Amino acid sequence: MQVTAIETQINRVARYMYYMAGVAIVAMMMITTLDVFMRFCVTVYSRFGWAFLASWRPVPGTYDLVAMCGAVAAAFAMAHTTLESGHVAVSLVVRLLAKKTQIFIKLFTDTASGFLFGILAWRCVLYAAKLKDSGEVSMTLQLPFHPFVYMLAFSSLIVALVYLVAIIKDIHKVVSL
Amino acid sequence: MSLTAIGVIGIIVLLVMLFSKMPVGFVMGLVGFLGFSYVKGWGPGLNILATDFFEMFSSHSLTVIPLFMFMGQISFYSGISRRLYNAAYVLIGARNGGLAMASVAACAGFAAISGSTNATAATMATVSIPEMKRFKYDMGLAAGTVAAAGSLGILIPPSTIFIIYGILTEQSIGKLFLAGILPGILLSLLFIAAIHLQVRRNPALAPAGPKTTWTQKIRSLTGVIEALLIFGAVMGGLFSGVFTPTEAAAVGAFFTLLLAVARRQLSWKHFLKAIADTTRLSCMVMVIVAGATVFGHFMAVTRIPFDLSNWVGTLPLHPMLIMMVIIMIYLVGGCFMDGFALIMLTVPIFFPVAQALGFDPIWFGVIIVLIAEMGVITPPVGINVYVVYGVAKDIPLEAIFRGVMPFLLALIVCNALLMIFPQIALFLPGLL
Repeated sequence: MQVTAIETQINRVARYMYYMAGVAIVAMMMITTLDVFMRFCVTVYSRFGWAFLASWRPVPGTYDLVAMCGAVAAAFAMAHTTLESGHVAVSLVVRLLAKKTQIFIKLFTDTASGFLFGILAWRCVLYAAKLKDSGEVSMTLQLPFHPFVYMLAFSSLIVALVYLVAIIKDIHKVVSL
Repeated sequence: MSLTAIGVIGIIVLLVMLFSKMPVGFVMGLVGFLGFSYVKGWGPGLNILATDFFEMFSSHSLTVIPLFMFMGQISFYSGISRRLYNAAYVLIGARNGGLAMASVAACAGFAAISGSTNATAATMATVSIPEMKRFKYDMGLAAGTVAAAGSLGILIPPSTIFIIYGILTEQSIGKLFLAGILPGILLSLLFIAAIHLQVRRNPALAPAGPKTTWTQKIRSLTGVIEALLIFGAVMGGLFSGVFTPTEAAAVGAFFTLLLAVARRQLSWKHFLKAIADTTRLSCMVMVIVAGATVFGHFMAVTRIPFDLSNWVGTLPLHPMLIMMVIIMIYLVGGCFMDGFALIMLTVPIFFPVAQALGFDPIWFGVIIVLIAEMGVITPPVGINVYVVYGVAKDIPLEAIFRGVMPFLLALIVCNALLMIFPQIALFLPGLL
């Protein structure tokens, strides 16, 4: 099939993004734990006055960092989770239908999903541009939001492409019926 | 067309599309976006799609979900469940039905470090079903026990459902967690009673397990210590106000990881698997949350939740009767849908109703979780039954569904007890 080469590329990108999402989750854990530990050290210092703890401070902007890691984790994992059928779906009724009907329903749902993520990608680009213009930043770290919205846009685009490949395959199946 | 009519059409379209095997989160997002756009115009509709997805994905309060999931996955891959089961097995396995009761106890223990029903059921199925098979247990009883007791994962804290419910309804997650403890213990005891009653009627269902000495019994307690340590550190920190929920989850995950590495129980391969599973599961949850937020905004502009709660509030019926109707709706919904998705979808609609009727929001959360627990074991889409079936393929699906029935009764009894004595749930949070 013609799509194979492109499909392989898309799947590869989805996989790499998935790895990054995993790293983001581990980072969330590490940053928060370190922050809690440092806060504990500050308390110990104020209680016992151990000199070596004097300059230890909680991680600045943990709140913002963790939230943005969460955004990266969720967004970057979307495409691969879709490829692995990791999203919850109700397959109960469709399973009972004839194979032919199932293909048509799949064509419909894949198109609807692709449409949703296509729109999401497009709107995220506009939203990011707006945030960039208004110079909106996070509360403590002054981290600009727009790069993360661009990441969500890119992730949504990849999901839309995953569905585009699926739609092409569905059409092949419909034609060969 | 009136707003209510648009809203009702939206709900019907949503229900139809849900059955088309399109991912639940996508359906909610799409229908919500189209419905919102229809009411408010395309400009605001298109905007809300991007802002809702980004705001949910980057919400700090939701980061608690992947972190608690990570903690559960590390516990799973490092074999804590096996050691919990061994302890319970040695302590109560020697009587008729003892191994099944041990599975319930071990599930309750694992639930205290895991927030998901599927993970609890899957991990315990791999450990306990082979043992019960060895002692010639009825396989329906064995698998049914694990599928049902796995559902304790969302009642005993930490619990993903409580977190989501807390965020949706702006209730304290710490209080919700506390509220789940006593009902969790009560339900575990009811499950054990359900096993006892079955075995008393037909001892052949579950022959006595191996005899153990007192030395073995005392030594087996070491298997409980690490789970107890993790639970104590995480929940202690959370309830005493030292940690926020996110911090409790992060420190818990880190602590669990540290314990697993120190005891050399987590290989690099399993560590990576734990990350991969966590990433996939939390993405699945986040997409549902984002989709449900978009749908929730659509519902809000149609004013259906408010109109419904106003209407129900004026009905000349006893609030308990209305609550029973709500529970019935959840039960039917739970037969077809994943509990988590069902809650995301319905809480924004039913929570205002429960409030208008004067029910305590924390208590309502516990009731919702209990119903979600029924949802994960009722046919035809009882997810836990499929999880256990996936682990123990040689047990027929019908046998497992038959096996969970007595436990379903136990769940109904637990629900009824909570409705009669709300204090079971509200006593501990009241102390806070």
